Amino acid sequence: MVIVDTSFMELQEMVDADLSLEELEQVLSDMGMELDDVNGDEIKVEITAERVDLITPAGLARAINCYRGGKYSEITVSKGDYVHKVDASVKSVRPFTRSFVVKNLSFDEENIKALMTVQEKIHDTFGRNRKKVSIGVYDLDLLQFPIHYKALRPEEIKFVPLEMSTEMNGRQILEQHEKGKAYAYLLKGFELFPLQVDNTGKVLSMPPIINSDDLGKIGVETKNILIECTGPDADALDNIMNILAVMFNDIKGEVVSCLIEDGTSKIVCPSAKSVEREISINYVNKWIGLNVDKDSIGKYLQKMEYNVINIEGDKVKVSIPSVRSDIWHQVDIADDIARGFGYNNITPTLPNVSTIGAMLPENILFEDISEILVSLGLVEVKTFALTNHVDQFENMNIKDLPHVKLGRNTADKNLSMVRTWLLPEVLKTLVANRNKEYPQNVFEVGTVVVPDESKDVKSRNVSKLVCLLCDDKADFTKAKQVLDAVMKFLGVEYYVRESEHSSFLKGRVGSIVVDDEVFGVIGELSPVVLEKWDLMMPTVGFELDLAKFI
Amino acid sequence: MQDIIAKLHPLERQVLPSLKNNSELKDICKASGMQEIEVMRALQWLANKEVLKLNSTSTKLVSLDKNGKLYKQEGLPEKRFLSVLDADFKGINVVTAKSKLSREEINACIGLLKREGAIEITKADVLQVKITNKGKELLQGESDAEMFLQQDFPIELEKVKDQDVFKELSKRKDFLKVDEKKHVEIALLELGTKLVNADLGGEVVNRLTSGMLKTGEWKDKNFRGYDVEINVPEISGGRRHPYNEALNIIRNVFLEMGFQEMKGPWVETAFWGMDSMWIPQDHPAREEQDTFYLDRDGDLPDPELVAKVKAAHENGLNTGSSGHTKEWKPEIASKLIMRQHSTATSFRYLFNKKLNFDCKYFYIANNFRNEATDATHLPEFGQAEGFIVGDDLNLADLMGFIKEFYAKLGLHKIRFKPTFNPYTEPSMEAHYYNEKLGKWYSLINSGIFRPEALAPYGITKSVIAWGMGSSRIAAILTGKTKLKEIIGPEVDLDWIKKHQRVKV
Repeated sequence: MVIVDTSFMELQEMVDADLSLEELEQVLSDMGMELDDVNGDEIKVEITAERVDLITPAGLARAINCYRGGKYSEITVSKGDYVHKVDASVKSVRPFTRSFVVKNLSFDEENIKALMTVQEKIHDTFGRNRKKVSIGVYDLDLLQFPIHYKALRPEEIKFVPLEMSTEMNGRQILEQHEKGKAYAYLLKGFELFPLQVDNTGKVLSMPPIINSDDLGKIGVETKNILIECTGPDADALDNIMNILAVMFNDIKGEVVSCLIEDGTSKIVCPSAKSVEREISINYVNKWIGLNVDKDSIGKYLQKMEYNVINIEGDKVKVSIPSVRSDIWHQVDIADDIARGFGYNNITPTLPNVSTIGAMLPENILFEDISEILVSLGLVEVKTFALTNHVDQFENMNIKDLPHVKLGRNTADKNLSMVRTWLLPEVLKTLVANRNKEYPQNVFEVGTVVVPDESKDVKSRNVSKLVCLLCDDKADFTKAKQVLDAVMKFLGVEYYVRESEHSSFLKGRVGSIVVDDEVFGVIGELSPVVLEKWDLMMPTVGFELDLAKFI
Repeated sequence: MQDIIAKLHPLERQVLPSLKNNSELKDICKASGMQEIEVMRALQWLANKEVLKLNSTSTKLVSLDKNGKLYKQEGLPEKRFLSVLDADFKGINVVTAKSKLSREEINACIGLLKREGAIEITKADVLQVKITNKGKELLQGESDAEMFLQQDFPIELEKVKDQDVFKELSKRKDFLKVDEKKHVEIALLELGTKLVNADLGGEVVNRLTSGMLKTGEWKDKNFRGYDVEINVPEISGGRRHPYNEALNIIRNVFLEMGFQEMKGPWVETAFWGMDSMWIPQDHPAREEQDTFYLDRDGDLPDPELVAKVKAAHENGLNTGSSGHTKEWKPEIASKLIMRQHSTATSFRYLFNKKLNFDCKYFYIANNFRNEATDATHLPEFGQAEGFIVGDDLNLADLMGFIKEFYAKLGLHKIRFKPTFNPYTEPSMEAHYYNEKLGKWYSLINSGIFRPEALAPYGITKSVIAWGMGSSRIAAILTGKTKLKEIIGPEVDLDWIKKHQRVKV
């Protein structure tokens, strides 16, 4: 989700002076956006990730305008003879660039600020913090064409970056400049750094980091600009350039194309080309559950900024606006028709699919076990799957068991692994409740994950039952009584064989054995463990692997 | 009246006759021959029934504690100390032996008498003491402390609390003590006046016993009526977790509607978590700040399937889609993650069970996102997910189904809103109106699986699917707003034990 900040009055100016806030809210919702917040004239509109074209107030206004009955018009671009040359050296670092020129702009503080806001918004969202797209704006009248996009060794790059007074090389910028430090990771490990220079060799910018101080600035006196972007994905750049061109069209700038030449191809930017595509009325009706025909389909398409080129029988040829980058298949157009029709105008029907329901056998078992434990007076708890080594091993006074580790980049630094046994997690509930009334007798049926090389995910889920009795009078007998009751309920013959387990008190711990196979452990928790957890109450219980009984 | 008489507790019956002529507690005790504690209980009950009014006042009384009593008999230690001294210095050991005072008392006496100038001290091998003239005077006269001791105790605190001698003696160990004495008086109310003169009938029996039943003795007994309206002490037994009770409600809705339950691994390959359903390889949800990555890679499934998924990503396979037009890389798909949604499992089922026939599946799952923990955000969250495979299932069917599903959860006012998911088109949110808060909330995200997502599995039918935050539903059903108060080890066990039945 992306939030677009804009002014309601400005939006009214671009759409219709009579547009009310209520109608705006409805139209946005019908189109799939949301009026997120209204604060005086400032409004926040939430748009969805695929609709990059709505990120500029101009794009948003166009969409609203069409939905209210306006007609989409393609971007107007004058053909220019500006050339932007791309050197093969950029291939290994940041392979693509696009640019165009805008003339006869009348900038004021307001719309310069708006341009900067859009630029930053694109960087932060669809530009993935400049990784996918980074944009630069320059005063056209200071530049000598052709512009060259090339890559140099950082030591060879020398210019005065924005907000500095002395010349720096590429490496110094990454180490010393505020923006350089912030985005250094984007150039980390590259031998060559990308550079936009004009034909006299003056530096425009070092993408995606920083503009130069002499060419990379615009002000209210600027009349004509060059706007450029770079990134690893040419389609994304073409899309962004079209979206920006719409914006300049709307503030009455003359958009003039550049020719991007990389030695093998010549690309006109902005492309500003609508894409044609054929859809089937029958397919759309079936996919959505509508009943539109050749007479009505055009209206819904037009509301969503499509133009109908022609209709022949079931087939409709439509043009998709150049700013849209989210039309892969005719289902995407079908959905736009549904939005044009209005989701809430569709009559819901019940799917005609008759089937028999079934619960997983293991869940039936777990429910039954839970019921018997509740009837024995135990309280069910629900703990977390993600945990850490200290809780699972160190505080349980045992050596590490095989387990699944999380990577290092966990947002919550307390999390380092998936639980591999359940008992310590259940014990945490007793620790958190130690100022509450005793006895505290609890249980959980839960999943743990154990390594398993035979699986595609190198691990498997295992279901466990843990019961813990915590009270001054809790002892081994009481724990075994509960285990006995559970095993009788399951109809399973078992016995407890004395064993060693350093989480438990020596001589008061045993393995739970069924058919000569160990399925769990039962005992009185060692005072060493209770002390580590600062739980000053005797605690006994067991952990049982339920796999055997499913 | 008869009703009240029938319900009188034996203690009340016993005390009532004594109330006729007595109003003070100690008199009532004497007259009834009952223990004070019994009388108090009975009086309290009678007061609750508005038979009488209890007036209790309390006075603080000073009396002699164990040392006070002792010194009253044997004389104050400082006097005894002085009495064995001479005008010449004497060793402290001699003084101790003669006065028969304890070491503690000797020390206290030295401190006290030195302050008064009654003794002189010098230090040779041992401490030496002699009496002064002032000391001799003191020995002969009667001190304030001695006069205080001669009074009759107990004395009301009010009378002595400002006297210096009282303050002085209070500091001495176990000398004085202050007790609170309750003085209780009753005043009969109108009902009481009638009751004390009424005939309370013969003997009443408190409990029915097995013995009475066996002998038939109960037939001649008069059973006391209880105050059935009285509060009783709280008990609690075992209890299911309210969160799981809420999940069971959701599970039952699915089962009623003909769904089969699924299960799948928590640890997933990015392939099943994302690639299998056509989420592009550069999608932001794949980044580390959203997804938990493990330290290692897993295995990709059947190469034939992988080839088809690759084609679906790159060129749309045979669906007429343009595809993402970017190279699809198996190394990105091989990474192991903690699954961020259970749709991973849905796609495993579509593949493993070749679900190109009418069927319905659901899964109430635990999923993970790489998020810092706070009151409303947990790195683990519940999601209930379901899908239906059928012929030409469409958006209207999805709406109809969701409406029915919401209705079963007691939510009737709903509206639909378009949204975006990478693997469904259309994608739709279903909002319900919360009457109490006067706001719309989104609980369900849904859609029709894209042709590109289904093509690799050979599924030619259409599939409608939806997921909803089951933690959120649990929060609604249990009335909690902070997830940490519902799930996890910090949840209050009392909250679980005493929670009312979770219901729609």
